[in-house]
Amino acid sequence: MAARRPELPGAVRGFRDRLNTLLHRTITPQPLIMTGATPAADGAQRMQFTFRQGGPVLAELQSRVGVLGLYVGQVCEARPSDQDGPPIRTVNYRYALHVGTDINSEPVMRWEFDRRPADPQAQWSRRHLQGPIPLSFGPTTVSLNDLHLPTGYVTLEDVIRFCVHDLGVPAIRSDWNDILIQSYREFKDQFVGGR
Amino acid sequence: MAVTPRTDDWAMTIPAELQLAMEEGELSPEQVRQLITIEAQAIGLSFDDAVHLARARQLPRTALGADLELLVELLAA
Repeated sequence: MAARRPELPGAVRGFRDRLNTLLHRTITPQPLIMTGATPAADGAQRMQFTFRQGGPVLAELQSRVGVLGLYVGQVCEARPSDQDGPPIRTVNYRYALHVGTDINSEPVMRWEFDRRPADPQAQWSRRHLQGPIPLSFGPTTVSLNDLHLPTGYVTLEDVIRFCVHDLGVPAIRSDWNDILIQSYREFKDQFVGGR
Repeated sequence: MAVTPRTDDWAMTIPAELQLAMEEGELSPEQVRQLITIEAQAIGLSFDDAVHLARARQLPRTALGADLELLVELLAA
């Protein structure tokens, strides 16, 4: 019989359940699946969350601009209980909106965050928005894919709000706005230590 | 390194043991590498090429590319 690895921290499962409850009450019944790696030597443990049915899938959303595919991917790090700071912090996120649900399509827009890029010399904004969107600077046109348009920290609540309010994705519950506000407060209080 | 998406349903080829581990949310380092290998092959890449391109942020701008980037982050832990 294979040896049982240590249980994932309860905070990690709580974080996943919080995200899934949020999604299921607002825009999609598709669950985020957690893929965890073995803890590092210092006890820190990384997990990836994404919509997955074997391989990654997009959550199908009906919207006022047609069928969209939502990609959500996060890598979080659970820290040992003897370390100061919040028990979980986000290392990377990727949120993207596709036209249709083909995972091989390029998304219309992508919100990305990399806490520690692999290239230590990287000087671009860690939190940015990109997409195949032409931007005109007078006579010069540049693709947003060639820029790292800075953003603040984008939460899943922010993306859901954009989908419902701006793209007309029908909310599962009529009190979606209250759900987002409450969820955001819990995220700030429980998972980022109120910061 | 040519990146060519496969059109067959490659996700159906994921071994049952790996599927089960994903459902439980716990993958060994070997299983993380196995999953990266399968997804890399789906776009015509080897494991090593996928890791290299992920760290250079040069994978295709697709959901599969994004997923590979994040799975590679698990290797760094």
